[in-house]
Amino acid sequence: MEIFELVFSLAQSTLRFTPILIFAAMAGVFSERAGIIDIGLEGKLLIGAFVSATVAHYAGFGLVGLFAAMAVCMVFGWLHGLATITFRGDHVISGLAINFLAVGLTKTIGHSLFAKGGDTPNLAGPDSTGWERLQSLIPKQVLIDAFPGLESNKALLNVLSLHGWLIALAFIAVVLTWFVLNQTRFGLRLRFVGEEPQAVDTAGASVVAYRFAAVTIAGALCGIGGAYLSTSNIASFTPKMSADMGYLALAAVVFGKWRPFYAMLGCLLFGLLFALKNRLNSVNEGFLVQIPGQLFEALPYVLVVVVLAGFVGSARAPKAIGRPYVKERE
Amino acid sequence: MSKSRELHPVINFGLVPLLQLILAFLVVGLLIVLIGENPVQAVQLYVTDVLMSQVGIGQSIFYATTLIFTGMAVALAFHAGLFNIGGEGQGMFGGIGLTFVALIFMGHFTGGVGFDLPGFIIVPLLFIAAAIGGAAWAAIPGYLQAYRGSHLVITTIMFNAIAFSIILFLLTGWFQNPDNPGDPKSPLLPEQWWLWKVGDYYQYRLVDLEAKYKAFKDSGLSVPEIRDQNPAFWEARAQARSMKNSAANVSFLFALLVAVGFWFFVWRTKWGYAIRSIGFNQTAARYGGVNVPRTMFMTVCLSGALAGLASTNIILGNGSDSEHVLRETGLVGLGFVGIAVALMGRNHPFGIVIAALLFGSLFQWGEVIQLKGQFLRPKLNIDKEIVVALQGLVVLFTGALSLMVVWAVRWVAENLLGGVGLAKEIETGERA
Repeated sequence: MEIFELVFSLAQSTLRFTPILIFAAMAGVFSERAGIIDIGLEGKLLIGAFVSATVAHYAGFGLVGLFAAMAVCMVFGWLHGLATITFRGDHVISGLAINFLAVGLTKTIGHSLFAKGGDTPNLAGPDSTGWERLQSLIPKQVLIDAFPGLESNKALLNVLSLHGWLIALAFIAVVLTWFVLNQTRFGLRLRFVGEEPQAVDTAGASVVAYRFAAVTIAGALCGIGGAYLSTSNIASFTPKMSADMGYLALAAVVFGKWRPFYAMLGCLLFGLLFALKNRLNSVNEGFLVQIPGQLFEALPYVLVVVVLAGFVGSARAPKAIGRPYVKERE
Repeated sequence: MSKSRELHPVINFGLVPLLQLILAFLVVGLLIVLIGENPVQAVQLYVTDVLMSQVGIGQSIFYATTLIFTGMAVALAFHAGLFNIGGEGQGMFGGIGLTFVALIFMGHFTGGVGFDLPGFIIVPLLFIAAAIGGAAWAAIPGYLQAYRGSHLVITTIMFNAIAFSIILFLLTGWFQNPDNPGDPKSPLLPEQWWLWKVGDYYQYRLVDLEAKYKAFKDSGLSVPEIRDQNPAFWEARAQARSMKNSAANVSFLFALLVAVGFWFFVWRTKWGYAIRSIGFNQTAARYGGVNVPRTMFMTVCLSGALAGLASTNIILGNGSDSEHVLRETGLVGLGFVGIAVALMGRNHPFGIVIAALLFGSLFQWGEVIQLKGQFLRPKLNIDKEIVVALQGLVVLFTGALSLMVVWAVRWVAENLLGGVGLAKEIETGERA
């Protein structure tokens, strides 16, 4: 019985971590399949988290925050596109710049708006309406007020309020990513832009347009991931809360050989490692007490390196990844 | 690209970085305006409390010393076409190596039975230990990059996180100061190993000055009387008191020496040639007889050694007497700033030293804003992380958007100035 409970709580905890990784990883898949390396996933997650928590606080609606986060992250995606596509800059450097900017901007603006050391106000405070957060699409309290009988029926309440809809959306995003990349003309061309940009150019499609489309989609997905982080997973933004998840997502993309479903598996694996870390860190009994907590803290990162070193030897990145496309002269 | 007259080197290496820097500063100025603060006040603070203040200059040089090392660490890997962003973790391991050796000499692990050797033997050993520590921590990602093809960027980021766990583990266990349990800090390193710093001179002078001050007081003078009758003395004492913790230390000169060595190594030795050749074209390098994986591995290790050396300044050269210890903060973020330093310095040691001095002063500016901003009238309420935003902008404009400025300058030179500022007729690239 105990083991069943442990497995259940681990699975639950894994499900809470994984969506962040999945949204970022799908962003990474789109971006990298089009030939754009995106180290900036990390920064865009952070920016998305900050914007959604801030806008949700002012607007009173988590959904408004979500769309704002998507919009702002798209802008940062365009910045990445401007640097890498238009001005042929180094992709890793541009991504790092976005990550530094994200840390600096969120803390500076957060400090000046709320004077709480960079934190945003708690969205689940006593005077909140419930609409600020995205855990459920319709706040449970609103449903209970409308149908008083529901309070006793937790399961029905969860279903009706669409509790955890962003988690479901993450998995839907995987299917959609697969569909768009593998079943549509847009996806075919997008993948070719990352492999043989000349071919796409010869076929009369614009390499630049497809690459910009890819960074735009990546930005939007990171925005959702960030919103999940700060308005669904917990109820406020704290500085550097993305905690290297963007990099882990990128590792999951490499682990998944740039394919959506395999990348999702990587995300689930890394999510499980984080869940294990938190679980083992809070265990105070038996032989586990002898093991220092820092070991568990480091565990996910160590295993990411092991996984990358052990399994990815044969993986092949998109051929034109990280390379600017310079049109041949007419 | 038919008309590819390149920019004149003076423009390319002087004007272009300057313009890029100005762009970054303009955006930060805009940010300060957007959050409702006064950018003029922020600049004033930079001028008065960093550039014009002895303490500010001292601190800037202190940070710059670390940045020269971390900047060179990034630049060396860049020359091989690699991106080492693990400077932060490698710096932590530099500190761990240094502290490990120091603790052996202090008898920390052997119940207080140490070896009493003179400082001029131990301090060089500590430097070597720091370099080895950093190199060791870089070796694993370096090996994985060179022989297994794991992306160095991802592995070094993971290794930063792992290093943080390890340093915390050591500082709450084996390395912890037994007299102060609960505080994750190593024991204080003995004074004879500290690096000579500018503050030492003032501390030395302060002994005389304070004795003189005491003599004045004993002769029945009040404080204002002492001040008014001996303005020169009063000034000297005030200066000595403010400067006694000035952290600019002798390892700045060491950093400059290493920078010269860096130049010689990269441009004047066969190893440097091998490194640059794999950065330029791996296939060609392989055909030229370069062992590409081994060169890659060695480059990352050397890069880690440079990052490890950065910790010597933080631990042995610290300005505050109680801070000659290993802390979990490691390089306090200066490992990451090294990326901006390398980019702005165009991976050349001369540029790196200049960029390190600039970023050192900006780092100090962040500290000053945090410390003094709220006491100004009107208040200057800016978080010090604005320096990280500025750092990001510098990386963006000097690194990723570099061509934007280059193209703009070239367009102006070609179309408005009739070719002024362009290099002589050197055709590069394909002909039309």
